[in-house]
Amino acid sequence: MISLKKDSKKERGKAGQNSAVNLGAGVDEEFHGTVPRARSMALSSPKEFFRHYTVVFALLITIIVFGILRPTTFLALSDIKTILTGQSALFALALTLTVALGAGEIDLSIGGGLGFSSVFIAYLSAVKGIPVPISLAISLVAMLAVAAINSYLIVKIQVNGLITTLAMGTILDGLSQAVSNSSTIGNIPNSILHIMQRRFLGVGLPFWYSVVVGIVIWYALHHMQSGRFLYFTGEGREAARLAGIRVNRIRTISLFVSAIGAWFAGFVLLGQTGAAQAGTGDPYLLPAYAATFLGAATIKPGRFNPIGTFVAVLLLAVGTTGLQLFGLTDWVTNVFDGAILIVAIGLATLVGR
Amino acid sequence: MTKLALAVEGVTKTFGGTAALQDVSLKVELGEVHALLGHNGSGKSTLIKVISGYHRPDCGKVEVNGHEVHYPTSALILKNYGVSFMHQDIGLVPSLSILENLRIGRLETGPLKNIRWSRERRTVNRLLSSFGLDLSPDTPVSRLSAAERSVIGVIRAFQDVSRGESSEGEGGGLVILDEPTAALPEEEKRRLFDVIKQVAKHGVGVLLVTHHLEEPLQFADRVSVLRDGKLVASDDIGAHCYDSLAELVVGRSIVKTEKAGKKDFSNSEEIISVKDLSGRIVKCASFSVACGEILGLTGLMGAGHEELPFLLYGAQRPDSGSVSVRGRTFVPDPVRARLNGLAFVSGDRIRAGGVLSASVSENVTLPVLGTLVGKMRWLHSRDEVSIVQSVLNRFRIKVSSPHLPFSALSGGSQQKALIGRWVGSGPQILLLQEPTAGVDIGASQDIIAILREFASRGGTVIFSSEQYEDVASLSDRVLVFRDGKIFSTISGSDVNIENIVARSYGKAEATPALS
Repeated sequence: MISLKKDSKKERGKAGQNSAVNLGAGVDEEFHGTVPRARSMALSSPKEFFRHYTVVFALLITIIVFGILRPTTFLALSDIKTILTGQSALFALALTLTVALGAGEIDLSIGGGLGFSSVFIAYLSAVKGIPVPISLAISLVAMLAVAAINSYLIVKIQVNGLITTLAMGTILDGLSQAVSNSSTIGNIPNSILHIMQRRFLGVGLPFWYSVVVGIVIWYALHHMQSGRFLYFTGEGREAARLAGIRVNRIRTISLFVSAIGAWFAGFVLLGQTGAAQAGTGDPYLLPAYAATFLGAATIKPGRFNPIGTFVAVLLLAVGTTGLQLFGLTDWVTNVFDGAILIVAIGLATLVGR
Repeated sequence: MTKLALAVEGVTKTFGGTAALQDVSLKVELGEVHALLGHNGSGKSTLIKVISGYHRPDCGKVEVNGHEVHYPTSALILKNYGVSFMHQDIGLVPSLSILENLRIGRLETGPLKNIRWSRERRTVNRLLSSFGLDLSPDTPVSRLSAAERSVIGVIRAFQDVSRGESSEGEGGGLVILDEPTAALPEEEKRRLFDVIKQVAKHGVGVLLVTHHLEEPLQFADRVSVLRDGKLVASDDIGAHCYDSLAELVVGRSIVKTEKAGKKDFSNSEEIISVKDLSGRIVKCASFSVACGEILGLTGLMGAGHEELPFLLYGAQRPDSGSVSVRGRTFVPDPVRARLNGLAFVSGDRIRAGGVLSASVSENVTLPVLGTLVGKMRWLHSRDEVSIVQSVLNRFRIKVSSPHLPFSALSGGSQQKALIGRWVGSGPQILLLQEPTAGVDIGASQDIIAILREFASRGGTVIFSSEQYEDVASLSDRVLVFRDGKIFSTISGSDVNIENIVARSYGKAEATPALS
């Protein structure tokens, strides 16, 4: 019951007032003719500007440093194209994860979902010989069922989302092994390879697909009512509910978006590698989280946002590629991704204060 | 000199120029149940916070169980002096057993640090039966009734202070109970007070902080009354009756005539009618409200008035009953309520008010986003900016940029923004919980003005509040709650603070429902 806690509420109210006074002292009291937009506010002071574009700067600095150290190899245009193409699956995965995190949901089943989708599509089309469009449809339905189970447990029954999706990811890994019989499935139909390996402006089509996905998400989150509702749900679920927002519907949809993202990323990966194997999705889980959290520290600091995510994926990709040019292989990627995730949540916490 | 459980001498405490306590002296003897009465803002909670060491008094001194309190102090030091508190929420861990809750921190252990469960069980059994309780020590607290939990809380507090007996043989002690009966039904209170009296019999002083006037009359040995930061009485309970206590608590000073202009809506078109609505506290509430009417819901803390806006909006699902708006009946939930023209501003600003991390602008425009949607469902930021601007100007909300996070606003401004955003969005019925609680006086005047203006344009306001002055000045009609039921209706020229206070503290035999 609310009223029983009145005293502590008053105390906190007072604290809030004090901080408001402090904040107010720094900035002028009067409005300008029109209200400054967030962007122009960001530009108004160097500190704010830096705060908004930290990750962008980090990306530029990384490029410059590697460019100087390895001018011939690193700055070669083809390399950049390769990076963009090679990160397509991660782009799709991280961008859709942004939606789930924005709504306050966590989905750890996306890694398993990615792997499962790629194996399942390969199994249906290459092993069973089912026509590609139908194979895609069946695998998509499977992933929608995964999302339905996730959201039923998390939203309806209110089971802890972290544990639920962690378990779901493991189940999907197991199913991938079952479907693929723990071996590599090759002989992928040409049409799949075609869709995923053709290039536009020298960059693989999957990258452009992800760009389209990113634009749709950006539009929905930043320029539509539903996006505002989604962020309110994520940042203050009870307040959102009392404002008449259908929070459970939004949470459910966000979990569907991340599952569809995992399905699409799996499809991309299958087309790009031309083979499927259980467990290929897991290495994508951590970078996707690193990118979304790092993205939340930039562009719109304190909020999971698709542009931030996009920039962050680039930073991750450039960073690992650069390090690999020094002959440091495999293990570097993991160390780098993990370190970035820690830096990202550190930044996000600091920025959120 | 005999030792006292509590001796407060000449304590004064001011907050920013306002005296919350002025030269207060209070004595609680060992073995007595001493009731401390006072209205909201009388200084009651400040006094408790001074005794508990949370506030350092400006002057004066506090002695507990023979030990002078030196500030800053800590809960641990006070505990060693033999003082323990039971707050409203009691502070038991529901998933743990009675034994664990009672004995945590003092469990007997064997040579291998193993807990001696069988011995513990015997101890707790003895303790429980000495208070005449037939409960198994292994029962999880979550299975207990509200009254039983309070009883366990009191026993734990007693156990904390009586520990001194074994160590220094000093005995005595002080147990402070803060509104222990707030959430209890009438018939359960007696059980709790039986235990409290037994605690006092063990030579412990009990300070009972309460709103309810009949409790000290029935159960206390002595009573003290705080009003406006001053101790206005400290007498044996035999010297008082209900009316004399009510007069002391309310005082004559706050009785003032409210400004005229209370309208009578009894013949107006009704917009919302509520039938037999029941929730956790509210039982079978039925009433209806007219267009343009301001209805105040009030009572003592826990009486049910504070739950009603929640139920009407469906923020909490009603157990039974129905709400109809303009003849359309529905079981409320927030989405349906919104569609039927209801809006709700919760009293819990931190958790259920604005979203602190979102911007001021986003919070303000949340209810009207639908009107900003243009082609391709694109939100028009220019229109959004002008709406925010007009709300901020109209309600005098000071903020350097609407793009700052909502947390940058003061409590009062947050509240104004949260109310203002609905006023602009065209709901017909505004439900509010404690709209003026915890905001400064300027903001609370602004809020009252906002609500009046809203009603003058034909909007309906239903609000719950324990700020009786605001209830009196704002409402056209007041429903006073007691024990979950509508105890009394005050309307028209009878709406004044005197009547509201009298009915809230209402004696059982008070004349119900005037209208």
